[in-house]
Amino acid sequence: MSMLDKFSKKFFVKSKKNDQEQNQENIEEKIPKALADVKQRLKQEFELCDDFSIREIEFGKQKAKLAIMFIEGFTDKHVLSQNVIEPIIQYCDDNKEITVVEQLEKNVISASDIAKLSSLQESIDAILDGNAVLYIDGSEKAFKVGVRAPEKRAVEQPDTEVSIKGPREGFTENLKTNTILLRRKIKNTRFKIEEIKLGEQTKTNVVICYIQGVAKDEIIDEVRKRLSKIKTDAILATGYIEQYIQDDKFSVFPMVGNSEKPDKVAAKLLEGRVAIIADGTPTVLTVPFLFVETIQVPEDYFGEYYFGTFSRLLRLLALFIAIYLPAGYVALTMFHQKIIPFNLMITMAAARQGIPFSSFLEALFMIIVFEILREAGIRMPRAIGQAVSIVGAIVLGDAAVSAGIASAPIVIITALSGICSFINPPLMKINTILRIVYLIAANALGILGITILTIVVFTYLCNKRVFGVPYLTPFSPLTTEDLKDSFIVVPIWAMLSRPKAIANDNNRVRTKGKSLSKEDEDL
Amino acid sequence: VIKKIPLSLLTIVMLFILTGCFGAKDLREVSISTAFAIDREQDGRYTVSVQIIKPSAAQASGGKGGGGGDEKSFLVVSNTEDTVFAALRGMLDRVKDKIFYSSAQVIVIGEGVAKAGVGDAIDFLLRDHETQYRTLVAVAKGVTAKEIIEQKFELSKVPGAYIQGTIKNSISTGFTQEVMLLEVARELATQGRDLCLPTITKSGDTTKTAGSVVFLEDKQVGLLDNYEVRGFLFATGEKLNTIIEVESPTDAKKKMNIEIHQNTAKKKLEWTEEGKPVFSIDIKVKANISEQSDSTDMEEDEFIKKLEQNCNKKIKDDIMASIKKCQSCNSDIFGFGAKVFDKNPNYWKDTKEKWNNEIYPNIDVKVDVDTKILRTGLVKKSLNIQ
Repeated sequence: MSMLDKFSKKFFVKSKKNDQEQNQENIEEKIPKALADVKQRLKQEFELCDDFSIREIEFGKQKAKLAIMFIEGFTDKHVLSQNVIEPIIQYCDDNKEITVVEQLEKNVISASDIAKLSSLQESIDAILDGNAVLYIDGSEKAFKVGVRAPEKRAVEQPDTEVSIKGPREGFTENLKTNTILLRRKIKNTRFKIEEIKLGEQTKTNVVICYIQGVAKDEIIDEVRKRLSKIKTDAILATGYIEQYIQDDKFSVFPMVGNSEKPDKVAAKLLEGRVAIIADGTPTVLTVPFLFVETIQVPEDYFGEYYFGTFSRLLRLLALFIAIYLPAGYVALTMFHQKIIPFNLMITMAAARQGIPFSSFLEALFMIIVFEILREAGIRMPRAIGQAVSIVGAIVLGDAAVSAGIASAPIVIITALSGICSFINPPLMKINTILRIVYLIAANALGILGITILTIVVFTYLCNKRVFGVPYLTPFSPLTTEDLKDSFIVVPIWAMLSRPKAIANDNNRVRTKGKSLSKEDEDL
Repeated sequence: VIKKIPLSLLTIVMLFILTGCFGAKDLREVSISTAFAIDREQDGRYTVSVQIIKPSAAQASGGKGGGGGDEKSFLVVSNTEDTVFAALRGMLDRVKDKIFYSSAQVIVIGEGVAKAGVGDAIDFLLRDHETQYRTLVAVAKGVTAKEIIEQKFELSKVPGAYIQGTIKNSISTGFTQEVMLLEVARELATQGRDLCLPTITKSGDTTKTAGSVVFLEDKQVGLLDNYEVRGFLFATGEKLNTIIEVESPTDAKKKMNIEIHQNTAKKKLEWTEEGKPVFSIDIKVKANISEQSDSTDMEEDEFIKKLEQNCNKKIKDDIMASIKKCQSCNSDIFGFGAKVFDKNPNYWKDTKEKWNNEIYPNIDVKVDVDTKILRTGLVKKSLNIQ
């Protein structure tokens, strides 16, 4: 690992001293008393920002000068004029006993979200965040009024995680909408939402969500610590945060959960996990993320437990096929023909006859073709996507076989393993890489190679910890209690406790079992 | 240490890329063999023939070739050398790809080899890592082994697999038995039990498995006919699904067929007062009536009882005939010697030298058969044709 660290230091050098110092100064700068100074200062800050606008008005009989500054389009015009500007202009009571600031706050502005600011930088941040800021001549205070225009995109079913039974809503790019979606599900004051800002340029709002008493305090602290350590200029998506807070700098397996579904995130919060939501991304992160979560799907809990179990086993099988099938085929045809059943061998040999490449090259070729088609399918505009699938299926598959460049079994095998890798979306990327690595190992040493690589991969996985929790829990270390929700799913009334490895030890009871007592059943 | 890391990484990468072909043999680069034949020439040399199939022609569905039905799907290559392995290697001057032994379905041994001793002939097959111990072994009778594997079958394009299938059918006929290469090795290496191999002959357009060859050590000493083989199989408790033809209790001229459903055999060893071993074999058979050519109502208990007795007698006769035959040629295929060795190793130690020649031919074997008729089929009574 030491070499990797060196490598990373060499290539990812950061020089942040200057930036930090500058930042420090700005925060300390107070809002000037004179409105003219404020205007001048802000105009300087927002120079060449044509979307920045200033509305100057007078207040009450004293003719106190006020200026409302906001970014056009970011704020809701109606709310701003009805709830802020209109009351100020029409106000004619003159209460000399209290200051203008207090009057404004208590008697005039009818907008609900209002806060007092004293730092200039804070007020600039507030403007940039879609608020209107009200500066008052002669006061060092300013008001931040939350009049941010609502996002356009509605709450809709996410394309990435489709559910047939159960909630269909999905997170949006708007942070507030997202927290509300969660809050609506968990109506409890112990459900905490801590907000922080990340990214020196983007100043992205990021929130940490957890349920106090259910999540382990150590994990919450660790999340806070890791987030506060992020020093970067931009957080454009939660994917950025994911890479910063991972346990392993160069992790190849997913170590942070991603979801676009509020019900899924809520369930994870209730298991004692911590969620991280960033403004501008509909994907929410959950930590700690364990390997077993890659085969868990919300529908396993909504429907029939036996089918959930069956699906889980199916997903594990698919995972196995996705990684091992091409390698196994190559190992069998190149090294271990002896163990192929006779009739199958004849079929395979017949298919292989006259093919100019070894089965390894053939498999590698087909896998790469498959990956190219997959990538093209994602990147292409939808309208052209159709053409890609036709070209892929007919030209590359069928024609390659009839031209004798690839054999039919390898087409089947590549297609099957490719499809299987889509079943576990979190593992899709690593699946693709592992499939090729296993293939190379199989070509070099046959089943021995596959075995050695398997040992290496499992050792790696067993060695991993995410936020202090072993990655392979509950399989390794074996946590018998948590197996109820691993490759099997027990009915929801039988999930008596939250996961032992994750939830707070003092608060693990989830249900008291089936509510129907014996007498009820008899009736 | 850091300096060495790129070097070791390079080594690992090279290990994977450059050794890519070590021990590897692509399926398209092997000649798939489906049957071996080993014959013995007059001068004691071995003629080994290998049946090699052409996968595309042999594929069951015909594949893309379409109507290529008459295409020959296999080729028999033979070569004569002092040893089996030398003969196999010598074939490579005529066969493009290395011959793949694991896929052999059957090994046919010529009569000459059987008479001279199969030990030397199968040594290579047991020693080589590529041959499969599950391959079936048979002895050619009347024809050379090569002729057997040269036989073309209308129903299958893979003759080796076809022959294997006919040997496996023995469970239904009871006229021969299935012996794997592994079992050959086991019988040859076991004290007090001798080898017995199925025989295979040519019959018109096809081959026929019927009867067995009995061995003393590794040399052929006698032949069992179909019914003697059946007796042998009953005596050893081999699972059978055969039918037995018995006389009808009411009319000795009419025949009835009994289908064996389940059969077990228990061998017991007793000692006479003179200290001679005496064997008794308890056989329990459960069977169904599958064919009747007279029209007696079978519901009568007495009828069934008589039928059972007839059946007992028939099976007992088979077994006794089989034991007699084997005793006459000194071959202990039943494993009586092994039983003695199990129960009384000291006695075995003293007598093992003369067991086959002096003691075994004269031992008494009591056979007790108990048949139970379970069902009479779908009809109780044969049709009364009017």
